[in-house]
Amino acid sequence: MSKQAVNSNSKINSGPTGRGYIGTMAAMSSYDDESYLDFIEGLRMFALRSMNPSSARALKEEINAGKIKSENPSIAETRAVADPIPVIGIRNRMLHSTQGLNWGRIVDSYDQNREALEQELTDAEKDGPGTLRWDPNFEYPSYFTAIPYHRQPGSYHADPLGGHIYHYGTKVFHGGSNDKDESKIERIGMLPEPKDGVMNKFLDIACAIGSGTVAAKLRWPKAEVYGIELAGPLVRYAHMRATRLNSEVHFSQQLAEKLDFADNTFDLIYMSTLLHEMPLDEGREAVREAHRVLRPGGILVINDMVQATVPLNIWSDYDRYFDHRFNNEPYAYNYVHSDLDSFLNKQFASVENLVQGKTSTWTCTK
Amino acid sequence: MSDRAKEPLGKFAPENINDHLLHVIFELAAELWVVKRRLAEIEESAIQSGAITSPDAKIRDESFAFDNSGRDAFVERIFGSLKDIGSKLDTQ
Ligand SMILES: C[S@@+](CC[C@H](N)C(=O)[O-])C[C@H]1O[C@@H](n2cnc3c(N)ncnc32)[C@H](O)[C@@H]1O
Repeated sequence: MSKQAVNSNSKINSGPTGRGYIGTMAAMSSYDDESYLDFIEGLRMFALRSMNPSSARALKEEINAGKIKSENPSIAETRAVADPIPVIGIRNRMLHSTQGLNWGRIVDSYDQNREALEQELTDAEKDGPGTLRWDPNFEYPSYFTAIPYHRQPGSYHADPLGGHIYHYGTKVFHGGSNDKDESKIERIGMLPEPKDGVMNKFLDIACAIGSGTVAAKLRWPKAEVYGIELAGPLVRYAHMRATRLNSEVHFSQQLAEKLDFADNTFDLIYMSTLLHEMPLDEGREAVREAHRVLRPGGILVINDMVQATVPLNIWSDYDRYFDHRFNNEPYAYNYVHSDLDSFLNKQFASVENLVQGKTSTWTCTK
Repeated sequence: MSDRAKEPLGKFAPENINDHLLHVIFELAAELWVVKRRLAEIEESAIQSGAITSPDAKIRDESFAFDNSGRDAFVERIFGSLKDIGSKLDTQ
């Protein structure tokens, strides 16, 4: 069917904003909001694809000219050289502005249909095929409420529309490459199965809006699939979205470091981009909990930022610290300097680490 | 590459131009508002006369995909020269 034909079909779902869906997210409330965010996405992609390599090159030139002597400079030494470099300053401004403009417009746009958007969360709560457990009075740890992650207004937890906002925000963040969950489906497709081939229970820890969780149910339709997430608005959104996609996933609001599952429950556990958002001690507790609920022979896959190398990649270190300073990633800098590999090797029978660009994947067998 | 991209950027304006540039941005924003307001007026008349459907009334279906290539070329045309500034401002 051509797009024209689909558009003229009266059965098309206009959704809570009245403008339908882009992939699996409600479209912005107006055409102008959609265009504005399309532009912001383009500008962000330009910053990543063009300004980043130019910035890294410019810093390298200064290093080659002897401005930084050590192979492992402190962040203060790096900043003294990098901050005044013009192309880097412009890149920093561009990333900071696009992030702020992105969130601002999404919130303003969804605000216009706030009532309908909140209502769809409530309406879906008791619907299936999956289930939802959450507590409106959940007590969040202070490390979590201390700062709005990535400058998202209301952070993950304080705005009832946190899930909607996060979803459209990450659309722009991914440059549109995940509108239909494509990149999550691909990631889940790469997960290994336990050696004995038994794959009955899957857990997605810190599942956010549940895109990876739903992708896991697609890959293993016969398995029981669970997703846990700390933020109430996100886990409610994950359930609402999964219900719309007719995916039988069991979502619950839980702390990764204090799971309510029994020992040895899961065959495969996925923990994606959680650890860099937690203080080190709590992050390690979350890994121990994952180990506890994993059955012997089961696999935990951790996907997260690469650990700092020796000698240091000075541009990466600067970039990470920029996020720490200006993008509300308070724990990420410590996390990349935390020697996660040694810790994991102490916990698990075997650990393999695959580095791809800025991402590391640790496959840990119990 | 267009002639615009070959402009000797950073060679002419002194550093303290920012204050002046801010003023220019305010002026530009005011003119942008003029264009937006006129466009809205024209759109309203065109909808009332049945000539067009408002883009806001176009409902997206889940298979909708953006055309990123036109957008990315637009961004590159406007901001492309910034990536060539490098580690020093050449003000000679
Ligand atoms: C960057 S998102 C990652 C989402 C998803 N796993 C993915 O890969 O797309 C990090 C998520 O971790 C959640 N989170 C942070 N601390 C947590 C904790 N202690 N327990 C459970 N979830 C947590 C946040 O609410 C957020 O949804």
